[in-house]
Order: sequence, then C-alpha cells, then structure tokens
Amino acid sequence: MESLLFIVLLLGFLFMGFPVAFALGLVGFVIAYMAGIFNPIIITHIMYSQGIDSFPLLAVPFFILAGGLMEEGGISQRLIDLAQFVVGRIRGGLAQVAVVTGMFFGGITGSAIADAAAVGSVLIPAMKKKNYDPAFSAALAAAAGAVGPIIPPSIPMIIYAVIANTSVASLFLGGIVPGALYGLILMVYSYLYARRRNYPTETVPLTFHNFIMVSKRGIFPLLMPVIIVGGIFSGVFTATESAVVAVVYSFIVARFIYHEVTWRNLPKILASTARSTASIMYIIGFATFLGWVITSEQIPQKVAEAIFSLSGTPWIIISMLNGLMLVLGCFIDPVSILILICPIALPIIKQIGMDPVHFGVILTVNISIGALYPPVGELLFVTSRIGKVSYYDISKAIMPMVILLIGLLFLVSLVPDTVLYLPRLFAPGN
Amino acid sequence: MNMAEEKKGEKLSVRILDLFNGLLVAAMSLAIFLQVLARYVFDYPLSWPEELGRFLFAWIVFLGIVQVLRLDEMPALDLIYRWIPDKAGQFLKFIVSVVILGFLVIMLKGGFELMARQTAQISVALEVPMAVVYSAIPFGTLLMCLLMLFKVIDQGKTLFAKKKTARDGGRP
Repeated sequence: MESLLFIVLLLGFLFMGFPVAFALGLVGFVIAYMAGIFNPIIITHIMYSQGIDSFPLLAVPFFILAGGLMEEGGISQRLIDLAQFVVGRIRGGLAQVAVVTGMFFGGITGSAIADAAAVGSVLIPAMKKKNYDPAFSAALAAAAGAVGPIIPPSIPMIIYAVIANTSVASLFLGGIVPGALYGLILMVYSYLYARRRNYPTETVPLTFHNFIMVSKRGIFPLLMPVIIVGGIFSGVFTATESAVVAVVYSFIVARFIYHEVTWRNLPKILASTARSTASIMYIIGFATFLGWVITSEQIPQKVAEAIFSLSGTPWIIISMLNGLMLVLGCFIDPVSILILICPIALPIIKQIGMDPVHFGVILTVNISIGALYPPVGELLFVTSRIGKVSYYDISKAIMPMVILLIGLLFLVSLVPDTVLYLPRLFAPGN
Repeated sequence: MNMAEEKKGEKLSVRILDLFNGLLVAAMSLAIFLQVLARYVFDYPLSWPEELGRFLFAWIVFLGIVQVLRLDEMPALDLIYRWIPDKAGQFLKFIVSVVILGFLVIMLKGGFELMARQTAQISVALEVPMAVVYSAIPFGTLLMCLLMLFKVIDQGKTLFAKKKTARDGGRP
C-alpha cells in the first residue's frame, strides 16, 4: 500500500512540475509525516550528513570541472578530426564520426548532456548540410552522447560506488566493454541506415603524415581517461584524487597547450561547475533522505518480497529490475533513479548472488538509455533544439536505436562476462 | 527605467555569487591537489586539506543551489504546461511555488536547529567550529526562501491582477 503511495506521489509531484529535488523531498515529507517520524532537524541531518558530506563524492565536481575545462579548451574539433580519420571513410561517414566522437567525449566528461551538446552542436549542422535526415542526425547525436556515463570516468558510477560500497576502479573497467559494444551497435545501425539512403562517405587522406597531424592534435584529451583509470586502478590514487589530477591535467592542456582557456573565461567555467555540482548534489541529498524514509518504512523489503513472490530465477529478477528502471526512466532523471533503486535492488542482488559491480554497470547502462526516450528523454530535448527538429520527429527517429540499445542492456545483464571480464583480469582482488 | 535598474542589480548579484562560488570550487580543487602533492610527491601526508575540501563542498552545494534556483535551472518536468491552457498553467505554477516555499521554510528550521546543535563541536583537523560548516545549510536555504517568496509574490500579482490590466503581458 505504502509502496504504491510512494510511486503515485512521486509521479504526481513530478508531473505538477516540481523540480526533481523538491519532488523527492516532498514525498519523503509526506511518508515520514504519516509514519510519525517527521522532524526537520533529522531531515536536514540525513540530507546533508548522509547524502552530501562525503569525500568520495568530491570526485563529482572535479570530473565536471575537468570536462568543462577540456570542452572550453576546444577539444571538440580536434576529437572530431581524429574520429574522422578513424571512421570517416565508412558509409555514412559523418554519422560514424558522431558515434566515435561521442565515445571519445565519454572518456573525458562522463556527463551525457555535455557530450550530446558537444557532439550535436558541430555534427548535426554538418550532417544536415550533407542531406542527412535531420531527425536521424539529432537522434544519433543524442544516442552518441548517452554513452558518456558508461565509458569511464563516470559520475553515476562514482555515486553508485559510494552507495553500494564497491570499487570505483572495477566499475570503471567494467564499463569499457559495454561502452564499446554500445558504440558498435550505433555504428552498425548508422551504416545500414546510410547504405539504404545512399549517404556519402567522407574523404580523408589516409596518409601517415595526416595520421601524425591528427593524433598530435587529439591525443592530449584522450590521455585523460587513461590517467584516471590507470591512477585509480593501480591503487596510486583514490577516485577523488585521480579526479583532481584530471582537473590539473585538463587545465594545463586547455590553458598552456591549446591556449583556449584564459584567465578571463576561467571564472565562467568554475561558476558553471559550482551550479552543476549543486544541482546534482541537492538531488542526491533529497534522494538519500527519501531512501532513508522508505527504508525505515520497510518499503524495499516489501518490494523485494513482491518480486521474489513472482519468481526466484535470477535472470527473471534482473529483467524485472531492468524493466522497472526503464519505466522509471520515462519520468525521473538518471541520478534519482540510481539512488532510489539502490535500497530496493542491493538486498535482492545480494540474495541471488550477483556481483554488485555487475549490477552497477547494468544500472549505468540502463539509466543512460533512460535519457533517450520520450516523454522525458532529457537528451532528446538538447539535440532536437540544436537540430531544430520537432520533439515528435526525433522521438520517432530514435526508437530503433533505443530498441537495439535495450537489446544490449539485456545482453550485458545476462552475460556477466561482458562486464566482469576486464575487472577480473586487471583487479582479481576486487 | 525602474525595471531596467532592477535587472542590472539582479545581474550584478548573480555575477558576484557566481564569482564567489567559482572561487570556492578553485579553492577546493587546490586543497585536494595539495593533498595529492603532499602525499605522493613530498611523502608528507596532510590531514587538513581533505577536511577543508569537504567543508568547501558543503558551501558550494548550498550556495550553488541558490544560483540554480534563481536561474531556473533545476531539473524539472514541464510537460504538463504544454498540455493545459495558459491560465491553468499559471495557477498551477503559483501553487507549486507556494508549496516549495513551505518546503524551504521547514528546511530552514531544520538547518538552523542542526547548526545550533553543532556550535560546541570543533572540527578534527582544522579545529574550526563545526557551525562554520553547518551554517551553509540555513544560509543558503534562507536565500532560497527569499527568492521563492519574491517569486510567489510576483506570480500572485500577475495571477490576481490579470483582470484589471488584461494586456500587460505579465512577467512569467
């Protein structure tokens, strides 16, 4: 009964237009009030001390800042040139370039919205100019951007590591194969789509000289994920420390190598980092509070019982959890789903003997796809605006991609080796 | 004239708060980078940068969110406002703002009580009163309350004064 109330209230508040953070907090207020545990001081205490005040979560602003510095540092064009050299000659060249650039960006920013905007603002106009279908171009840029959180570094994975108390290094390594498969799926789809509509290839001189030129320009940003993942995984740095090293590295690249970040535009980057950080952390704070309320009302146990009463088979349970998250993805933003699903899902996956790293990566893939379909689909809003495409058209164009990516989600869920092979290979201890 | 001046003042205060928040982010980054340097390069671990980083983080979140609220950047669904008529939308927005104001007042109360409880506490590494950290919550929340109050008044004015001046456009 209470579980139902919880969902109804949350969706109700969201539909009324309450910002996500307030909607989460309000549901928490109502349930806590009904349970007789409503107390302002406890609310703020849980929200701040358990939700926000965490050293590992300092990695969140650092990764946002590093990504912001790189973006402002003019890496877009350099990464696009590099991607063009690698995949431009495949059928539907610009579409292939968009996918690969999205993956490159994923290794730098870890935020899907920034990726989609960066890829889209250059490549959607370019594709339209070469007579690509505008809705397809905008949809593809959104899908390419959504790979960001799956490829390390990843902000959702950091948050998950804190909640589930698992290794960030293993999660990061675990995201690599699913991220690569994600890119591959989009590339194959673009190839088939482009062949049917006879889209052109790009002419890039495949000479050694050009290769050196292009890699020299694009190599600095791409070294960043290597430094981050290498640093955490070799045990030299914690995630937060590696994130701050990434900040310093990207500052040096953007300021002293590319000369595009100056002392004049630096304050703007810092301020927007503060705003993005606050926006995410405020949601995390209230999602943590709501998580605390539903846990003390034993709602997760009731949901778990309901799920187990339907089936005890692991793959069916995982599929049900995935289905639940995909449905939530229609309405709620990725970070909130992540925090709300954890108290419900973690005991369940423990009971069926699933590796929490495996689940963390599934969760990340799931919520990344969740940003891609209507009615909410925050990435669709971003790229449809850039491409001047109607929301209806982009929703139609992205559907085949979403269906393929849901196929990937189930592959990753049901074949643990797609996620766990790399972490086991490099970090058998975890 | 008056409106323009008001806008200018608003912009200035946005810029000042942005600048301040940016400085906090820079300080937090430097503190943690210093910790990395101290530990790995100079082999001389420090304990205070981590604490300083966490304290700055609290202020970044609770001051940053003021700015996010002010610029209307908080993630929210606005589907319903495309489906219902303008007038109903304005009314719903007014209700939502009033509820948020009430919500923030409760947070303000909680924040003050939490801070008051920490006055005697001293932090481990930096040895500053914990109230310095915890005051971020009531301070930021107070600013949010004021913003929301102005918004409620604004929205209420356009909503209820509509009949008299039908074609003044009304600020959103």
